[in-house]
Amino acid sequence: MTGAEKARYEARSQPGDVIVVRPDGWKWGKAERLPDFVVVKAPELSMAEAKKYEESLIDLHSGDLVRVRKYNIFPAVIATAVEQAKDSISLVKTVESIATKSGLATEISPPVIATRL
Amino acid sequence: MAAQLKKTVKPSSGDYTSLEACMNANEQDLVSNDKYFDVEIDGDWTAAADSSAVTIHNYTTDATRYINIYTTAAARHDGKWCATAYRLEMDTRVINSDSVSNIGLSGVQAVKTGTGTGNYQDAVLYQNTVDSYRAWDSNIFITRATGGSASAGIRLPYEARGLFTNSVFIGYYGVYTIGYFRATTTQSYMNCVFIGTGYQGFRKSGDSNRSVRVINCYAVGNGGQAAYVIAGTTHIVITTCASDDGSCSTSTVAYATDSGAYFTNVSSGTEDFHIGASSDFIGAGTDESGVFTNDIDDDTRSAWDIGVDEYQAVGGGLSIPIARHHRRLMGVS
Repeated sequence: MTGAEKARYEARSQPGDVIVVRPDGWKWGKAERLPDFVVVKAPELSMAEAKKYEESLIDLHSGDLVRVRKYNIFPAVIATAVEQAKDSISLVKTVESIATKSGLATEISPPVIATRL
Repeated sequence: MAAQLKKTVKPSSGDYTSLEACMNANEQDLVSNDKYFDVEIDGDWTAAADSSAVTIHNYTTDATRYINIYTTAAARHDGKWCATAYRLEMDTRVINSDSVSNIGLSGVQAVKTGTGTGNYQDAVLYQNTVDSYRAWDSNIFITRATGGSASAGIRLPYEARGLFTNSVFIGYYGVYTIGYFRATTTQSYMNCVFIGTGYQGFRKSGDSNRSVRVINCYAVGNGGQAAYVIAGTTHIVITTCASDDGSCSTSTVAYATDSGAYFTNVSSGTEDFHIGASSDFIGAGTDESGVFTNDIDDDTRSAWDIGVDEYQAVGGGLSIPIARHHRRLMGVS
């Protein structure tokens, strides 16, 4: 894997990344649910506040994409929703459940490799 | 033979309600999975624009296992910015096509509404670098940035390769491209319009090696800047193009509604680049039917006009349907 390929690989979205923010009452599409997405209801956030969670982490010098999303909801929160097969969850204190990425290697989840049993 | 993977993006009753969610959810190695990916954008988007930035990355493609993003007639603009059609509209960069090849994009409107003056306030960042590519056709990309280096309707960094047809690029720069270092022609603009609202209409920076072709295009510069600016080595081919100032030896054609181009509207924010019957552009282009045959309205090109619109003479008089058979009335013999 070249350096550029590695950078692109590491920039991909991670579990818990906030992909799209839409206003309360939004009618999501048929595929905007498990297994690909969990809808997080955040009643304490305004639309304007929440919209920033769509931002990417960009290298200010090169303009390169470092992380497709700068913020993510703690993966454990999402994992719990998946385990419980919940298409949507509510986070009351949403801000406290969101991490800001800085480009560290620890932000990257290991690749999932399908193996034949 | 590759199988079709098809997803729909619609305001309601589709798979996704945003293009970003669609592209994010389906990231995969299309080659290994032996699929081509059709993304159909459909429906009536009058109520709201798609307000989420789109990053297209983390796909593996080839010439037959590609990505094709397109709007249906219901969701497509009418050759100019259309507030009822599908549109990406936000304060930030709208589309980042990040090193994925073989992506087609057709009939999409994208505007970056932020009026900032920092560098790189581009609406679309196109970073596809692989040899094979599909056309980006009939798109309208706009940034409202009022300054900054490379703040363009579309920006192409080093070694981007692609084909752009029938598209409108409006920004502080219309297009800002670096070019390419190989000896082959790999970046082409055909029948496009470039409007630099505060600077140059079309700029190629840096050194490259015969990499950029501009054919049948029209450009306008502002702020005392030229319509076309070619910096660095001059390996670029400009064929049957026009501009408001004749830069780069292009034909001088007025950016006006009552002379020269005879555009329908040249007011900032409501531009309409359909041309009138007296336009200097009519029949002034080069026949590129080996590459494409349509215009921004999907009308068939025949005379090969310059710009996004192929002039269509409006028919007059009555339309009289002619019966092909003599019919008997019921009960009458």
